[in-house]
Amino acid sequence: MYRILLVDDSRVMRKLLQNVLVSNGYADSEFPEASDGNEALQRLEQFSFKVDAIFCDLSMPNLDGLGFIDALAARKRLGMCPLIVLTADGSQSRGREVLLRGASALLRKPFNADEVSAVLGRLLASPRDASARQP
Amino acid sequence: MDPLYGEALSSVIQSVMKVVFGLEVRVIASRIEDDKKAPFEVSGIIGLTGPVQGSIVISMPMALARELTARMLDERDSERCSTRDISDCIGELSNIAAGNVLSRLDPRKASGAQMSLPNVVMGSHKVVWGSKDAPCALMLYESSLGVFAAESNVRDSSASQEKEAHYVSHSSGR
Repeated sequence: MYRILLVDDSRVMRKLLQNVLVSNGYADSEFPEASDGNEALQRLEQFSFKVDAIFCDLSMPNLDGLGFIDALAARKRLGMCPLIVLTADGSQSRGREVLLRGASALLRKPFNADEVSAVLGRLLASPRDASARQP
Repeated sequence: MDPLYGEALSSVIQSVMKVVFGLEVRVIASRIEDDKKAPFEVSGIIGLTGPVQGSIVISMPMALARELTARMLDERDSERCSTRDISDCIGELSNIAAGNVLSRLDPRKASGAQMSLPNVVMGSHKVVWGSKDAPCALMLYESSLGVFAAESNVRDSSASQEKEAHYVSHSSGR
């Protein structure tokens, strides 16, 4: 069982993503939710940063996806688990920036269910940054 | 209009409604329209640019939009769905449908096509003006929750380039 944090200001998008994951091998996982980067940081602190993966929208009010990545980096938690950023922005430069800042993967909306589960499966199977997982 | 766009949209709508909302739908009417009126109150609109140009519109009554949103969110009481929820739901439905239509087209024609962010318009008697070079294929669907429509107003730019080339050669031949 995994704990997968879903961060998006649209509860429709959070639910849609959860449905995709449940239908693609993650039915027994837990899906805490946050509606922006600040709330996501609060949820992570509640869980003592023990989450297995994070899906995060890029465009959100208050603290957006890039701000959230920077906030994780400032707390030295960026490599603790796969961080998959979702965006409807098709620009290549924006995508590069997200990956340069430290996201594990970038998926474009509308996302493909097979692609979501394949990317998550690959990232969950890969080694993590042990120092970022320290309590 | 390449009939493939209408066929692809029709097939995609049936598949997406089943997968996302668990709803069986069937086409009850299909026709070419000139005046491009989105026939219902709530419309999700996706613009397409690049080698494939135009728009895809999904239009439905507010009551159906609310019910679909409630299904997606597992809300027993659809009145608990906010206008923002409904807008997000219909926008995402349009986004998924348009993305799937592009993925089913011949990559030689559709590669590099760009989709706009979804726009959702609420209100009756609106007109969505699409590309004047492409007629609008309107499909009406029936479901247990009500009737809705999908419109494809799409052309590929290679077709217009061929048309222009034909016009130039025709003109210069005079």
